[in-house]
Amino acid sequence: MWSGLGPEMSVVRADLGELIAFGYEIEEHPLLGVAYRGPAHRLCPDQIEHELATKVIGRRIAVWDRVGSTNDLALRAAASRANEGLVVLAESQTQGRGRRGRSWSAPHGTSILMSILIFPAEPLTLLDRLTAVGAVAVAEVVEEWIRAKAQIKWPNDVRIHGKKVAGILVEVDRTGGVVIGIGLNVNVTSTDLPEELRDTTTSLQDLTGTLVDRSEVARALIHRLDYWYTQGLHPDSDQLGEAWKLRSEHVGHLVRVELEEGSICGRVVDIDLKAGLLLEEEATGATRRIPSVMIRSLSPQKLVEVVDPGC
Amino acid sequence: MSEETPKQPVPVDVRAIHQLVRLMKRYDVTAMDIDEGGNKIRLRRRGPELPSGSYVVNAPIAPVAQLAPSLTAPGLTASAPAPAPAAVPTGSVIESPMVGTYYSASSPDLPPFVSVGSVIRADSTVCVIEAMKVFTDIPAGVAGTVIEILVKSGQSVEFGQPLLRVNPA
Repeated sequence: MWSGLGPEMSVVRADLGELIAFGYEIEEHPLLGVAYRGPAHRLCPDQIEHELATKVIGRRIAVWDRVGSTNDLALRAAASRANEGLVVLAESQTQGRGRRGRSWSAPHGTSILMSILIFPAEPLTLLDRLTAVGAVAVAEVVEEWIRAKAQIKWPNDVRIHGKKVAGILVEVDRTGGVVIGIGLNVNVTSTDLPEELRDTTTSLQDLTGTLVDRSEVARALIHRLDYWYTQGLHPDSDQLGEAWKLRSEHVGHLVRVELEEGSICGRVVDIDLKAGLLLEEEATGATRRIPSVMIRSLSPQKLVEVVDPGC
Repeated sequence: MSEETPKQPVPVDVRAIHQLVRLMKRYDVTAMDIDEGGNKIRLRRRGPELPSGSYVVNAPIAPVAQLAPSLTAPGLTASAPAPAPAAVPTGSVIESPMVGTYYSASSPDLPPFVSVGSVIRADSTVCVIEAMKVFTDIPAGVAGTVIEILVKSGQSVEFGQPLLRVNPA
């Protein structure tokens, strides 16, 4: 087997040695040769970058072992527009941010913690779309792996059957740089999670039952983000809004919306990135349009729990 | 969601106009005409040192309304009020460039970006405003000393709402 390669053999041997050293599972047999048995447990920059062919996102990829927060690193790079398309990945982060006040953490090497840096024209007029770019891209990638529909909880959590698989945090820098930070649970098992999160959180491994190649997931994510950034941000295109609405878990369901003046309960008649929510109020039956920026938070309400006096 | 039939002009979102005005300020654009879906919007501003009040908005009153040009001529309505509001002793005010939730720090366990007495530069971040889970750093736009903070962390703010009062350097 090996001798058939002639003088090339030593080169192939050396390459294989490097793959094994990196952590790819490669089985060797003295007679049958070698076989690929599984992905490395680490993120592999070469695997992610190989023939990536994206337009903007992924022009530079940096994989870190442990960082404070990938968003912070990407924001630091926003000082130069030359860094547009930078992708920062980390095996773990010590100061990952979720929604304000909550931290986002995961066991080392189990998730995709990714931040991308872009410079869209006029970030402030695009807030709604920037939010959706991350949510839709993640939802599509999750769907590709689990072969089932992913849902988006307003405005940008990705959930499967009501369990969160990914969270997104977007930050706009003063220079006009925008960082989309994504935390996607990949090979996180329920034993890795704190007790209080087990009922509300899931992961790709949970959903597929197999160990998932994170580098491949990262590649797919970069592809979808690049697609939506280059195609979907255009104000005349409603493709992104459609993709977002299609996956919204709220249409037709009861929700409670927190506004500054208080909260209201109602059934979501329509949801639109630009126009906001169309809500049929539970109390009055009146239909009311609520602009997205007015909504501080939105939570799904189960029918049996509508006894809440706040409603 | 019927983008196929743009016969009827869509009502203009006031916030969209606010954003346009802000962008004009930011990039020092003095004039802008927009004709979209039957709505004509004409925005004019005089100069960077006169932040607001100097633009004229011709929002769609009725589909037919193509207001006489003289009405919207640049400067006409704008120059009517006294141009110099005579040095306000209370310092200059930093206004919110957008609608959202105001946060004084980038994380609850971090110290606020600024507090009363802080010396800031024009490019200092003074707060973060969140809308639809997008967190936007707000630059001071003016150098000086913070003399008053007018909003509380976590509070909703409107476009143009005063956030801080600054004694310009």
